[in-house]
Amino acid sequence: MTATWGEHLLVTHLGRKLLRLLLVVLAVTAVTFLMVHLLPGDVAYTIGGETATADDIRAIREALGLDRSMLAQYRSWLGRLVHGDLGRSYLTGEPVLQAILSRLPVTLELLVISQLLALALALPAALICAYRSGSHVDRLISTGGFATLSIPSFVMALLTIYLFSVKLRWLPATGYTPLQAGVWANLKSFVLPALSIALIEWVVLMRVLRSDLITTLQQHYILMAKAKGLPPWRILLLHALRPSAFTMLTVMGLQVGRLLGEAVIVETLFALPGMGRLLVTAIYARDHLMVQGCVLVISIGYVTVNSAVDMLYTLLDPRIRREAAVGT
Amino acid sequence: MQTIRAARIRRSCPAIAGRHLVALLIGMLLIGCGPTPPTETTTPTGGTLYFGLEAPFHGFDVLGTSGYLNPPMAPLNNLILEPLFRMDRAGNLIPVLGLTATASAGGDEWEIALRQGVRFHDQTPFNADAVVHHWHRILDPANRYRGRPIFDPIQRVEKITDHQVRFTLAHPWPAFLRTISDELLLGNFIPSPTAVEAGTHDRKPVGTGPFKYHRWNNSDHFVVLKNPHYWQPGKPLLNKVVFRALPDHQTRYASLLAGQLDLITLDRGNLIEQAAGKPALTIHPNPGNGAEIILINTAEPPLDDVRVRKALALANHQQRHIRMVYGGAIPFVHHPFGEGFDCQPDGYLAYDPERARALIAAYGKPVEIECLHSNTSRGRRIGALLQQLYQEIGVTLTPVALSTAPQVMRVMQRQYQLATWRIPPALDHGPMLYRSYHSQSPTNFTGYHNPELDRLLAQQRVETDPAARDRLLCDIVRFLNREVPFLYRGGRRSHIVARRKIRNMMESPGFTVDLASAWLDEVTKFNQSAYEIETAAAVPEFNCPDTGDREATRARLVGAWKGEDSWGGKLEVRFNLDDTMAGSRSGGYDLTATYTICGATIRFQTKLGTLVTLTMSGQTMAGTFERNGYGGTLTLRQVSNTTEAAAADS
Repeated sequence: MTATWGEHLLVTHLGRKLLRLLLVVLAVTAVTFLMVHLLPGDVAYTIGGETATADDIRAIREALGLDRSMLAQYRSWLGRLVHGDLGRSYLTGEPVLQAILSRLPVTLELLVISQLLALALALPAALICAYRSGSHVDRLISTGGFATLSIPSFVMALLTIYLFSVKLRWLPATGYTPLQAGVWANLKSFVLPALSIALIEWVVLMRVLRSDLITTLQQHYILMAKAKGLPPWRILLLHALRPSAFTMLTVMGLQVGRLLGEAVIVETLFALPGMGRLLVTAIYARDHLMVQGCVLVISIGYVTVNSAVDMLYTLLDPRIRREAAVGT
Repeated sequence: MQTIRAARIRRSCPAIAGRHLVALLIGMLLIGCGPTPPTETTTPTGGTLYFGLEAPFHGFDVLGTSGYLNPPMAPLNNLILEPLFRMDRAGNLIPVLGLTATASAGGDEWEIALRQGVRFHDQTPFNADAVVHHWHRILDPANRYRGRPIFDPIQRVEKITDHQVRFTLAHPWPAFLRTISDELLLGNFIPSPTAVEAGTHDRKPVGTGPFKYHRWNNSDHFVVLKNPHYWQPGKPLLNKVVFRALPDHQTRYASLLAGQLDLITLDRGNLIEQAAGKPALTIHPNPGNGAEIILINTAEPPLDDVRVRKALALANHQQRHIRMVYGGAIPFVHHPFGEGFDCQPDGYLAYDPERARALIAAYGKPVEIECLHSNTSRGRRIGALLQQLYQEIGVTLTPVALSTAPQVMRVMQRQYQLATWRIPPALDHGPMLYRSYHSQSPTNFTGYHNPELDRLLAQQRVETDPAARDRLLCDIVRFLNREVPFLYRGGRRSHIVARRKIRNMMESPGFTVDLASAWLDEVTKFNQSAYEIETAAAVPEFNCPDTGDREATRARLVGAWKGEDSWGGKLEVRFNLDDTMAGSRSGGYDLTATYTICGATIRFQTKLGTLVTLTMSGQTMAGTFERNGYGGTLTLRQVSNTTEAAAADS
């Protein structure tokens, strides 16, 4: 009976979350629509170019429906959205949904690999630093971390290209190889872009985790574990890491937005055909429908990841599970 | 009846095969042209070429474009689609899909004979119907083709026979052949009428060119494959060309160095200079024409006063623009017609801040103006430079950084005072001048109106005598230089940086390259870190020019090398040496070249054509240097056996 009541509460909880997610997405698209329309110039000038006359511009605007009111344009966009149609790019005529779907895997792969790389660097570093807090090793890793954090991603990208592509010739400098061409070839095309992001992101994760680990390692149950003679790696990995990971998870969720910002730069530098590059090109060209489509997908991704992080808390911490079950 | 029988003009590298070793060595290092024909071990067919472009690709349907092709996209377009004619730098007509062009006695009709037996990639036959179909789309007012004003005098295009068409003009139009041969006008390229009618041509272009569309992926890469049925026998030699869009200059260049790309377009002076120091790379500068300018809105005060405009021109330091904004990558210009066009005296207002200050004082009111420029780092440099230059003459300039769309919008709505702009490259600038500065033109964004200028602009449109028309164009230039509706920031010059293994890459007169005849020399490798030529067996060896023996490491060299350096300048080196040899080179615009030839080290240096320093251990050479653009003619002769330098000013 309790389990059924708990399940009912969970469904209500998820339903509420989904509704909130939809409202957030709707609000984001409305604000984006407003902002893009408030920008000076529109896509008609980009299409018309320097040789167009005022009549040409008027004709282009009419043909694209840009002469209608902003509200009418938004209503029409929402109407099409309900049917799964995001429209066509003003600039290239490519269906927006198709353009996004073909680029989304590239950006997702970039973000996942960069986060995995960042975690691969942050986890051991944080464990070592926390365990040897205040030692030379701790100071050395922290200083190194701050040094990489202070390098902007575009500089990091150019440095990695120069070292690994031009000098050592280990990895391709630019370009994207799809997964169909082979896993290794695909991964090779992501190593440098992901590394450029990860070398900046890992420091934040490492510092947050280190700090929480230090607090956890001062708990009584850790003292008990030490008294029982458990080896340090077992204490750190099995007893200290899980309760210390909450802040890091929250940060990872919140970092998604920032990572997309990094992806814009990195995709442009490494010529990866991802969403970031698509969005930037669309903004500069005032390709409203493409911008709307990209923002919609990004906002859905952002709120989904953060909701997933919320749910991950319940998996990691039994206390939160219990609180959710009693509906508090 | 005037018939112009087009002649195929072949441009090739200077004939250096069979010349001396140094000729070969320096020639390969400097001018980027390999020996032709290929060596025995070379396979001239097959292979894939990777071409890095700076801009993403858009559609190929002419109605979707503004008329002008984005120069970086032109090489791709040229491989798939073909025009009726091309034109070489000397103005000779090159037949492509058209064979001859015959003008009527009045000059207002042209009959063009078409090539027979040609098919589009989709097997649609190329004939008069295809040409007429294409031109009807362009000329039909209902289609609102935005490039229509360029072809304004063309009234209609009709079929005479299956392989003959007639162009009827509103009036005799001397620029007709030049305009329809311009490779930067997409309207000149004939697409398959079948693909156009099916609505597929925009994303899957179908033409008659040496390569055919294969794949276009996510604005990331565009792949074209060899057209096995190409009408020119023996072409193309490559199997595949992959175009990739890499907007960032640094990474595009890094991809070239890393071997991921074979050739790239580049317009950054510092990178071009770096590339010049790499023996594995060759640089192909294309002088082109047109200009980088600053448009002036002459309709509003204070810029409606010619004294203020002149003051701005006199305080505008074009050389500083070229150096600080473009890293020396573009030429200094007095007019947009290109380097070979002489209008002296052209009335260009050279930098003279004293005169500028006097004109501002004569105006008598404070001058505060705003300049729109792009929100790129290059645009911001332009804004900062102008602000500094005009501050010196007491003019307050506020730079305003904008992205393309709002800048174009404000210029078109005449809501600007100064704005960075460009005069696009063209085989004939008459139509552009008319559209930009005639008082009745809807694209006269400067608001400058003058009946005298209108008369000159109208007259050049119909003047059929080439010499008289050139005089008219010069008169227009003098008028514009006097009345200053725009300021010059420099000329235009595109650069293609290629790996040396690409042979026979013919440059077209426009802003593009012709890869139909290109082939890959995979045998000769260039080790860029060692700065030495390396054979496939990795043993340094050179052709002995006198004996022709490839194993020879000693040779007596007597003679001269004369050719074009990779910057387009003429270079001549004379020598008389006897020993083993090796060579290296570094530099760029400020050329520094060092060669160890026959045990003696020769080092010479030019600095933008103003200084030559020549150092040669064991020998002393005297040098004279005659400036020619950024390059020049360097003539050396041996004067003594001392060990130090001789220098000569140009």
